[in-house]
Amino acid sequence: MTFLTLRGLTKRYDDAETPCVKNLDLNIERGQIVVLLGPSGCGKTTTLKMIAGLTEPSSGDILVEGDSVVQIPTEKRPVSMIFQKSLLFPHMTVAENIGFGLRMRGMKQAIIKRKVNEMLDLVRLEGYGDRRALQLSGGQEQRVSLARGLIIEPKVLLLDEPFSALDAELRLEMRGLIMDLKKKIDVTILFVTHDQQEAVMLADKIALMIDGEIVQYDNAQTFFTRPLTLRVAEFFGWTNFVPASQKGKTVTCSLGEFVFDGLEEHNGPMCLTIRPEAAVLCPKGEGIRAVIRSSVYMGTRIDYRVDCMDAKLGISFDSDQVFEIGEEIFIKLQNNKVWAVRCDGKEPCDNRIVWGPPLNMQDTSIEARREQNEGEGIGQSIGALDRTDEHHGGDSREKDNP
Amino acid sequence: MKETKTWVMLLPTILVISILFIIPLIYTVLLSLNFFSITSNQAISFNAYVDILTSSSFTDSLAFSLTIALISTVASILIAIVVSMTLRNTFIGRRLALFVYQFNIPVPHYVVGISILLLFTQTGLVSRWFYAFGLIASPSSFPVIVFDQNGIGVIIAFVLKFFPFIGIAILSLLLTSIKDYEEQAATLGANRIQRFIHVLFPMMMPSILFSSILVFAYAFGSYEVPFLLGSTYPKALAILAYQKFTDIDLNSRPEAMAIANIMTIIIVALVILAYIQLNTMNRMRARQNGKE
Amino acid sequence: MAKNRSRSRIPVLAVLYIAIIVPIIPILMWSFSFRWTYPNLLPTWSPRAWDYVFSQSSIISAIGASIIVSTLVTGLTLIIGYPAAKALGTREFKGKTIVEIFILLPAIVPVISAVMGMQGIYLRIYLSDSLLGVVLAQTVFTLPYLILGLAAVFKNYNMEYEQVASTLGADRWRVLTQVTVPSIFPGLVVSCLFAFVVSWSQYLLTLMIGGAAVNTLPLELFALMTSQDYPVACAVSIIFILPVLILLGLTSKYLTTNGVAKGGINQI
Repeated sequence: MTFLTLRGLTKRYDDAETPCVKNLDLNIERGQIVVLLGPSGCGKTTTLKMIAGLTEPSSGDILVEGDSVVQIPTEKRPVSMIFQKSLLFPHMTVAENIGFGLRMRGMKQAIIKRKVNEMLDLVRLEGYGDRRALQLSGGQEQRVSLARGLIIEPKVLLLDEPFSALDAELRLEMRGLIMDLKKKIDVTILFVTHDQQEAVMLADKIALMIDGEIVQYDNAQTFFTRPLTLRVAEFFGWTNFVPASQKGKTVTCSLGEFVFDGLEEHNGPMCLTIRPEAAVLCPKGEGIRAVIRSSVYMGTRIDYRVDCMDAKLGISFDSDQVFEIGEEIFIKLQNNKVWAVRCDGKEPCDNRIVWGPPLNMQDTSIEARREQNEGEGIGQSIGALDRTDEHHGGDSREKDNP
Repeated sequence: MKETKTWVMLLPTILVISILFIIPLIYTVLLSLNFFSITSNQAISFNAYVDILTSSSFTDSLAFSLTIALISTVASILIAIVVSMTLRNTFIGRRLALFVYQFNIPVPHYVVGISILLLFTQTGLVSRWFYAFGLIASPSSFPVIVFDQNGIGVIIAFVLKFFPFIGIAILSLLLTSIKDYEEQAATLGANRIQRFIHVLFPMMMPSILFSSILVFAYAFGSYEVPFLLGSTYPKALAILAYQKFTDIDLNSRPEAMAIANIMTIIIVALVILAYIQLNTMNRMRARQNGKE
Repeated sequence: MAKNRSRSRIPVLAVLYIAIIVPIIPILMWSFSFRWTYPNLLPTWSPRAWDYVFSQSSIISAIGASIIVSTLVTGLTLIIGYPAAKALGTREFKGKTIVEIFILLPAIVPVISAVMGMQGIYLRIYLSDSLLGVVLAQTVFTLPYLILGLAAVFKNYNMEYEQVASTLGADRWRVLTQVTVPSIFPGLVVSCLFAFVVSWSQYLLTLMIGGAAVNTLPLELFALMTSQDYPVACAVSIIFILPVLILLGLTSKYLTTNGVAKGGINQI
């Protein structure tokens, strides 16, 4: 039996044409951290608010340990929620804020005091109890907010982009704190974010949500190796997309035929996706022929844009492999860095290059990157330089990060 | 573009208020101390204050005005909270309700006063309705609400006028970020009543306090409404002062001035106290807003 | 929390509607009555009061005087108070609280307390018994409402827009008319409306400063009430609140819901 279950959960606002959360199914095991990842406005927050009881679902059910909680008012549900803004009550001290939930339950003052001190230690804010809530820094505020949510010992802790207002360094520190806390406290966590990196770092499993639907629910590794759809692949650093068609387990496109183990059998249009580091050089005449169109020096490697058969590709080589523009090379694609994805139906698959994984899933950033890659030449690639530099592909990222 | 100095921006306002308002207030103090008197050789005399403070007509009036101001303010706050808490939820007909809620704000106090007069005198409209339903046998058995010693009519007029004023301030607050705090409190286990007592009310306090100061000051010093609805004894302070000021006996003028000054002192002291309280609360609120 | 609580709503709404609408009834009925003896529920209907109001030159001239006075007061208040409101809303400076209390004083000190001294002083500087004197006196009492309301609006206003405009070559006047005023417009309108309403309903102040020279509508109304001519007094009351309600209707989109918060009426 799963610990937290969402069953056909749907929310349609009165004035909206389409539901903002569509028929959501999700099973979360006890003690797991599941990250609900998705761009702004995809219904993540609405989902959390329904679990917390702050928004009424239009249909569907929410079960905690097998029991439906939909009819239970917010204050009696075994969940607590941390919001993006710390929402510390301005008229209370830090200790009063943390002890709030226990006071509401009518607990004895002495016990509250002891538990508050324990929580202060746990979030590394010893001695801050008597401060006013408003005398804290952003990071401290969010830690108090976390302590305040945890002190009531919820079965499920909901976090709604709790660190998105903090700067990069603090965000890392806060993620570390969450992972530490997780070891000490038996709590199941549902964490909402649009930050792909944050999701990968924290999650036991990621539920990728787009337009009110969960597109893929897997562990982080799978998103980097076997994305289901084109958009998922884009979010997880797959660079090249080439229209293809699938018959059984065989995917055919202008670059040749590919057979993938573990690819679901399917007949119809697909999209071949290729990581930039997939290409390896072959002796002249072997493999497939490619013509260098532009290059960007990236320090440890060089990113090239090449014409290859009918397709345009973006590929990377170590920086000792220097080619001139117009030069002809022969390459082979490593099978484990190539994959086939569905085209998301409404989006017709065309040949495109999307350099570098997005930092977060704001729709605008990915659109912007696509546009950048429409043009040719050096200038357009410079914009992508800092991003590409920061994380180059999913595999290297996991090593880079502490 | 060069920045204009702050004091230059404040100067016109400060000059106008000083010359046309503060100097007259000082002049009133001097008059009350018999400063410009030709008849007396004494430079300064506190006689007017002594006379006033020892007369029961003044102390009764003071008690009357303070009581009326206090009761109307507290009643208005309570009604304002209840109505605003109701109107913050969306429901069919809310737009109309909001319009009705704001309707009284621009209507002058004494027009509401006139209406109360026509409704609640012993021969007023309500009395007629009571009579028609057989609840009373004659106009004289209708309770004295207007011109009564307890100032009930005055209080009703003030409350009708004040509660939307305080209420709109509360409502505008309830429609902003305060809702997030309430949701947070709910997820932490606070029920409806607890959320109100521990979160909503403390966070509304600055708004309530500020609008209540204005309302209290108005009720305390109003001339027009007690003129229409007040009793002949005790009189509201403003009425007492005005009558002493327009008395044919010119010697009662310093007494009028003394009453005026005592009213000013009471109100200004109250406002400064409230402002000190408000300022600490506002500083908290301002820091909070700054972070959002 | 998500559940609607309509059961407690209905009595509250009933009280609200009764409290606001019932007081309108006697005023409307009396204004169309000729005589209304006890215990009749309905008066003897007659348009006498309205005929009287529209034929009596003193009432018509009082309407004109009120419009002139309140418009002048609102304009003057805006010109004097605008810079102060901007300073209080956008800047931090030493003694700000004291300045705020100082500006608030006319709104809280009872008119009766100030008006006796004002009469004496205005007499000495030749302002009493004149339109100018009444306008200046009322301006003092409308300033706090306009300034505090507008200051609240300026608190949510980003001064950087003005800086951008001036770096793009806009002079002071253009910055004011093309950038500042459009971006604070709703709040500006509500604040001016408040100043207008405060001026429009001044009775005691106009009576004692204007003397016999300035006869505004409130003076006319109180005279009618003193003579107990209720039908005419009620007709005048309706005329009296009509322009205010029209103004409220025109600006209501700035007042309702979010507009209230932005319009700064909550700070008044």
